[in-house]
Amino acid sequence: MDISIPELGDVDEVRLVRWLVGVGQTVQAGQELAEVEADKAVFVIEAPAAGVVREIISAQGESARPGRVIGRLEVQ
Amino acid sequence: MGAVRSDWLRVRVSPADREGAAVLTRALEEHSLHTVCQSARCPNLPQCWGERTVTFLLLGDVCTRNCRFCAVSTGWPAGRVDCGEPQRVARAARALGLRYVVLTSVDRDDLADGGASQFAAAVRAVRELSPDAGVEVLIPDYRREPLAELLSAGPTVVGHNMETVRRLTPAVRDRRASYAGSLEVLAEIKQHSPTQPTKSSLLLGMGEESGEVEEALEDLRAANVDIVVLGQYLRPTPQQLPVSRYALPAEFEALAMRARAMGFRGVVAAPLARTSYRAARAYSELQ
Repeated sequence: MDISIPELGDVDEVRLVRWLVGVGQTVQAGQELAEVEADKAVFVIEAPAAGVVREIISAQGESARPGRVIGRLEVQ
Repeated sequence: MGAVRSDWLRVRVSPADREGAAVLTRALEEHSLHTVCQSARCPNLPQCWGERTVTFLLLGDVCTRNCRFCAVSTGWPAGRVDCGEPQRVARAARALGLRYVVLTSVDRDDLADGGASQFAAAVRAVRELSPDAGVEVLIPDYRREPLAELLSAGPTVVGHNMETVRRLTPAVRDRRASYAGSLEVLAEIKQHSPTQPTKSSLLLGMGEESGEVEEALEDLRAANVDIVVLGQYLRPTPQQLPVSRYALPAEFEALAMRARAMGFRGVVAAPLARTSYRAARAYSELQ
C-alpha cells in the first residue's frame, strides 16, 4: 500500500520534515508515519492500515507535490 | 523576519479524512465549484472535508481586492457572473448531504451590487433543494440595497469579518475596506433584521496589542454581533504578510472567556479557528 502526501487544496508543494518510522518497522493503523510542512501548518500522515514499512522513497528535507507516493507499507 | 511556528499548529491527517476529502473533491470537480478551503490553503481542510464541512466560494476565484493576508488571486473579472453557480452549489450540497452550508465569495467591485444577488440566489437554491440545512453566508462589505437583497433570502447566519484591529486595518486589508465601514455593515444587518444572527472574525499574529483586541471585541459587541471567532493568522505563501507572533492556546482560552463575559453568544477561539470552522456548532450555541 502506498504512503502518499495528502491533497491540501491549492497547496502546490510541501517539504517532508521527517519520517517518524523506519524501514522494517511494524506500525498500527493510525500511527504517525511522517510530517510534511506547508506554509500554514505541519501535517502528520497517519498509517492507512496496520503493517510493516517496506520502503521509504522520499528523504527528509525533500519537496514533494500532494498525491506523490513517498513510501510503501506492506499491510498485515 | 517572521515568528517561529509552534508545535500546536500540527494537523493530523487520518485515512478517514482523506477518503472523505476525496469524495468532496470529486463532487466539487463534477459541479465546477470553488471553495475558500482550497484557495486559502486552509490547514483545516483535511479534517473539515473529512467531516463533509465545506465553504463554497461564489462568484469565481478572482477577487477585485488585494488584502495583504490573503492568497486569493486579484484581478478585475469585468462583470462576468456564472449564472448557473447557485444551482450547482445547491445540487452539490444536496448530493453531499450537507446539513450546514457555508457560502462566501471573492469581492466583486466590478458588479453594481457587489454580487449580493448571487448570494441571495445561492441561499434560496440551497434552501429549495436542502430545506433542513442551515445556510451561513460570509459576505463582503454590502450596504443598503445589496445588503437588503441578501437578507431577503433569509440566511441562517450572516458573517462579515473585521480580520484585524483598528490600527492595523489600513496595512492589512485592501484600501477600499475600513474598520469603521465593516462595523457599520454589521450594525446595519441588525438594524435591518434585528433577529438575524451575525458573526465576525479576528486574526491574531498581525502585530496587534492585547488592548487593541479587547477594543475590537467591544466594538463588535456594540454592533450587536452574536458570534465571534478568534484564530491565529497563518501566512498562506511567502508573498503575504509575515506572522508577527504565535499566540499561545492559553491566550485564546482567556480571550474566549472574556468574549463570553462581554455577551457574545457564540465564541470560537483556537489557533486554527476560522470563520467557518465548526460553524454549525457555533450557530447551535445560539439556540
